[in-house]
Amino acid sequence: MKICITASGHGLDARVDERFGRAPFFVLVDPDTMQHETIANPAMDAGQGAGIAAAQSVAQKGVNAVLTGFVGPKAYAALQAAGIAIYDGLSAGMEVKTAVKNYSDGLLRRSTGAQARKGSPVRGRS
Amino acid sequence: MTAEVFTARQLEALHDHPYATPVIAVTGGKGGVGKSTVAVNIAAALAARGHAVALVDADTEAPNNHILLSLPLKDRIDVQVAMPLVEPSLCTHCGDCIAACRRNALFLPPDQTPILMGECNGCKACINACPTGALLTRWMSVGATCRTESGNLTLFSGALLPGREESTIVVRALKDRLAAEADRFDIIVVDTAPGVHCTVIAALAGAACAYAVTEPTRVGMHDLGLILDLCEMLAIPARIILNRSNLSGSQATIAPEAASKDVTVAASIPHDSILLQSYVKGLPVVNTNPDSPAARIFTDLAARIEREWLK
Amino acid sequence: MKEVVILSGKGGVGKSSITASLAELLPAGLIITLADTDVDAPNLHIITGAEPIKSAPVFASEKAVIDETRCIGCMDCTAVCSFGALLPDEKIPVMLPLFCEACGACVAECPEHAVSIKRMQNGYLHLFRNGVRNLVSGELTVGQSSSGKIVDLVKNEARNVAQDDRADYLIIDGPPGIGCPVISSLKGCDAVLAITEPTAPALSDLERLLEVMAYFDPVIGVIINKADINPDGAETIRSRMAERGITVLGEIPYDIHVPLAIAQGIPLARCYPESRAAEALRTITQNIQRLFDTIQQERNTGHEHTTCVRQQ
Repeated sequence: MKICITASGHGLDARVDERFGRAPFFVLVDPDTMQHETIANPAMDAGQGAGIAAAQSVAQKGVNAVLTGFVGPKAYAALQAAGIAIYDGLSAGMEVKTAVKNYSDGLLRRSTGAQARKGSPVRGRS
Repeated sequence: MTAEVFTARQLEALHDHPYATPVIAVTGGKGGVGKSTVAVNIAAALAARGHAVALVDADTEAPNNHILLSLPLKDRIDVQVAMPLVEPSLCTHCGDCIAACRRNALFLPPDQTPILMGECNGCKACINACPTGALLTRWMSVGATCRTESGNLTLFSGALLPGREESTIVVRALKDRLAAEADRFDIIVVDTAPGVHCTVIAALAGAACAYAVTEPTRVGMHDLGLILDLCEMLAIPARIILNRSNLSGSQATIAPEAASKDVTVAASIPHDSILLQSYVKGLPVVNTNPDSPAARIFTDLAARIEREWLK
Repeated sequence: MKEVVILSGKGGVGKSSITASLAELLPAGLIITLADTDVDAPNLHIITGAEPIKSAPVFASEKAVIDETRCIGCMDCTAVCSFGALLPDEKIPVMLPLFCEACGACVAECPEHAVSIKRMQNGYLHLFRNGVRNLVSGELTVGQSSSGKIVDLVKNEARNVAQDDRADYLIIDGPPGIGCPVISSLKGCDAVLAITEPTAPALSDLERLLEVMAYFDPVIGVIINKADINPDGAETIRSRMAERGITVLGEIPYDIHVPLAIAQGIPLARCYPESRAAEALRTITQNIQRLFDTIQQERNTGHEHTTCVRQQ
């Protein structure tokens, strides 16, 4: 089992980055063993199609589920096509290891796709 | 690194077209200054004087000339771009197409064939890159061109499909459609979109001169400067048409702008309720009220164009 | 922070002046950041009389470039360009960067590796200040391409500034048309104020704009400017919008004070507060606030917003 958490840094102590397509790093974790590796997101500075490029790099790594803040509509469709589960709604500032724990404890819900259909990120409560 | 301004070779290539008919462009950096009104009336006035006129509505995002002439849009031809179509039996899942697509429009799910999910602009880089010929070409519509005849006036109109981004490709398809029969016409009038971006440049390409429509406001003057800069860059002689000339400020505001760029004011059209009503009705004022002040100005301008380009 | 974009489809219907007045008329306690994504012809700083603070070049355009020392003149690249940007010539192909989409097909085709994609400067990002408000603006350099990408940069910067400002609203004065810069302006917005006029061309352009907006599904409000120049036209707009279930926020009469205010570089609501147009704008601003409250309600309940923009 391999899950991917979008992050602004390396490793389990890094903070979550909310954006799937533009997050600087992906932390790939086996939630049972807590073995992990961090890869740079090649799509971070992509002019176009960042979401799809991000989905491609994640799919190539054999990821089973993505944990993130929000996923745009194209990335959403790509991850679905690859059979990768999507858990959205994570907040920036949370630590990667906390996100993994929440996942393992069954506290996270699968994305409904509503945010992806709207095609825009949820902005913080104002 | 900044891209160079246009070189002589580039300008020659840009303006090259396979017909001798003179092309007059009507443009203007700011939106809503009356470009389409001017274009439609110049075209109608020239047609009324017995010339075969082609009016080209190259504002493909917001085409209006047919509305201002109350003409239907006929003879629709789709404008299409090439998109990849996967032939699964030939696909080896090598991923070369994914690597070739700089727009990241293709997605390759593990052990499946590529899916087009992103914004494809028809470049065919993926089709070219496929080593096994597994990507075929399918054609996707991004817009349409129409052609409507009305007496001496033929309207060529282009429209981008809402949601697509290929406005420049639609402009070029429109001009290609015109080019196929351009020699039939005595003169061609092109109405461009507002602004100074690629779509406008594609519309201005090949013009013998450009009429930059503006209004005597601060914003109008600011945007006039931009379109005059563009015309200079494209080596297209420009003249100014001052619309709503009695609105606010006066000709005095425009004179410095015109003088600094060595450009003349070809016509000044005061704000005119008859002109406004003809706009609302959707008919050129030169046809509805030929003796009105604005109509006389357009007719006079048409006469001068005729002297310069048609005799 | 709510993000609002002002669009129209048709140019010149009053987006910038309405944006400037809206910023003036929203309650004084609200923090507002402004942005101008009409990068071809940015005007908002002129209309608000804002002071320039700083500028930076942007490199948002990519084009194929031929290394003439490596080119052998085979012209193979001209055969694969789908956009007419490469034309055969005697020694070296003529490259028209204007049409180049930086797709890389020519780079892949060239047997001598003489073609590469290079990033180019195509404009500027500007920061202006209007009293206490920041205004982020973008400018396309005349003759350059990729205005849509500059819009993306303006929005990114504007969102950063809005966050630093702790803004309640980021109000974006958008471009005319329905193409790439408009689509870039729409991405991620919460609401769109669509400005129109009571003429057939303006309504035609508005309907094309609504089709583009349908994909993004923002909260939408329509404002009819110069409504009294054609009362029948205004009625047509009202009934068409009613059919689609789109709120008409109000109508503004034609008012000579509007161009006078623009000429002075002062928002109408500040220099002619008693004018008919300013009165109309005050009512409209109240209606806008009600519309924005629906965004907040939907966020609070997690309800997905739908409009009736899609054809029945």
